[in-house]
Amino acid sequence: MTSHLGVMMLFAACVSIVFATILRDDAAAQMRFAGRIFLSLVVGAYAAGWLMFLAFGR
Amino acid sequence: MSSSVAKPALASVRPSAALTFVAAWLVPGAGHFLQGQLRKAVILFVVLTAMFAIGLGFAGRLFPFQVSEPLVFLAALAEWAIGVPRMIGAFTGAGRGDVVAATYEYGNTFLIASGLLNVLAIFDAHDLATGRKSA
Repeated sequence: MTSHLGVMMLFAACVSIVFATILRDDAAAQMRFAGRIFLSLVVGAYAAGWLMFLAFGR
Repeated sequence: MSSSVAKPALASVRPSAALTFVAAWLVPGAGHFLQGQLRKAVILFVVLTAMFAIGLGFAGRLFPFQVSEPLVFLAALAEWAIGVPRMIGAFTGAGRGDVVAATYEYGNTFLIASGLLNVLAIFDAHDLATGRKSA
C-alpha cells in the first residue's frame, strides 16, 4: 500500500483504537471516542495538508 | 454482600505492580490481562502487534542504540518499548530497513508509534495494579 491517504487512515485507526481502549472503559464509549479521535486525525491531517499546499505548494 | 467479599479476595491474587509493568512491556496487553481486563488486553495485543508487523511489512528499520545519532537512539528506545515483538524482530533479522522503499518512512512511523503506544498501555496497567486507576 503506497497511498498516502490509505496509510494515514490505517495509522489513525490504530492510534484511535489504542487511545480509546486505554482512556474509556465501556465498549460503547470506546467506539464513540475512537471515532472522534479517528475523524480528528484524518480531518486534521487533511486540513494541515491543504494549508501547507496553499502556503508552500504553488 | 457476596460480591463485596469476593472483590478483596480477587484483588489479593492480582500480581504486583512490578510484575504487571514487566509483563506489559514484554507483551502488549499482558499487563491488562494480569489485571483482569481481558477485552482491553486482547484489543491492545492485536492492534499493537499488528502495528509492529505493518511497520516491518512496510520495510521499516529496527534501529540500533546509537548514541552518536540522538534521533536513531530515541527511535531505538521507542521500538524497544514493545518487548517481545522487538526481540523477535532482532532474532529473525527482520527490520533491516529498505531506505529506497516508498513505504520506508511509513514503516518507521508504525514501528516507533507501536512502541510509544505500548508505553501508554504499560503505565495504564501499572496504574491499575497500584490502584491509582480503578478497573
